Amino acid sequence: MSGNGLDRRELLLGLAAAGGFAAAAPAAMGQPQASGTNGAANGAAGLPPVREMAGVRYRWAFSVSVFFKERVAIEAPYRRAFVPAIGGDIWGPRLQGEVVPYGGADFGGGGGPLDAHYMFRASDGHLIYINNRGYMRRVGWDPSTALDRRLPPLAEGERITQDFIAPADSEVPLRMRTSPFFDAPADSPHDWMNHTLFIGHGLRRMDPDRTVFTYYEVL
Amino acid sequence: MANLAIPTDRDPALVADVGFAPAFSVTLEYDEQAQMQTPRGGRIYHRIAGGSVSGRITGTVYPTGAGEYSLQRGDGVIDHRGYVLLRDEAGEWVYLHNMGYQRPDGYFRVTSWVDADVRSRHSWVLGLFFIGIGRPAGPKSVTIDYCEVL
Repeated sequence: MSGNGLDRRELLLGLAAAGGFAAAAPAAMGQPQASGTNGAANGAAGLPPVREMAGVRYRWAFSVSVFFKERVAIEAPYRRAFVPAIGGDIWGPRLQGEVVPYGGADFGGGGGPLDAHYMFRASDGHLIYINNRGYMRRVGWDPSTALDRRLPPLAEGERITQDFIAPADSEVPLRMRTSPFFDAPADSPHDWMNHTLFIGHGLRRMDPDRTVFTYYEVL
Repeated sequence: MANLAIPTDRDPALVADVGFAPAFSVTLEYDEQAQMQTPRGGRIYHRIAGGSVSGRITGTVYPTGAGEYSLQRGDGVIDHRGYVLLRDEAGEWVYLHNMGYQRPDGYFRVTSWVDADVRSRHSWVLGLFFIGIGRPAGPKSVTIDYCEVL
């Protein structure tokens, strides 16, 4: 049962390519839209269609590419990684802007839950804090192998190596989903993000190293 | 400022799709509530006194020692925080941690982080989180319907 449910990205990507948001996305590039400032607006002009599956109603809100350079794995008893966000791009119907360069990092990861803290700067200048919690679960992963990790013993005088790589999705298929929580200024057009649940989809890409997140608001 | 961006990342075909699959439903029953004013806002305590789970996990909510410790914010929204133990019909334990929003308009959505024993038949939940949609189930009871995120 679990193997069957692991990764339907190919199927889902196929669905997206077959229709999905093709009509809505180009209009979202670049300029902020009036509809993006109204959190209560539903089905307003310029917003993608509301969709529904298994009783969950959801809608594409925006996308973010986050670029990385350094990756440090700290082999603590509960593994931890440190991967700073060196910058990035934000586009879509409800938020546009950039990822603040070196505004934070993923401090979780390392095989455990993602726990990233960094900053967006909206195109209107407002700062938005993101705490992105999620997982990157290898397809076919056997949970019982997660216990009692062993590290190769160090040779006499050997320095520990703490660099690691996070391969592209095309090399190592992942199902990466996140559940971000945002803090935006209460008196800004982004206040709706303070009280809306989101779902994130992460796609690892290389050259350059980055992750493209697709965020849905759960309606 | 020229920030990092790859134009082809904005290809509409890369607006990745997600999906949802029903996983389980949890009904929580409360027997006690208290609220205290704190520097963070109003901390709302609900003692979880029982309940049930159905769907891919069937069993009961462990009635002693679980609770919700939500925060009433200044804008009327409640930051929901719940800690729940489930026991399935074979006696296996499953831990749920709910975090999300309860709004005055009835919107009640949580993300749930779940832990099960790696030897358990519920080990499929490991490493995943779930989306929960909450609704009242009685004067002192709520039901949360959980979906796996596909």
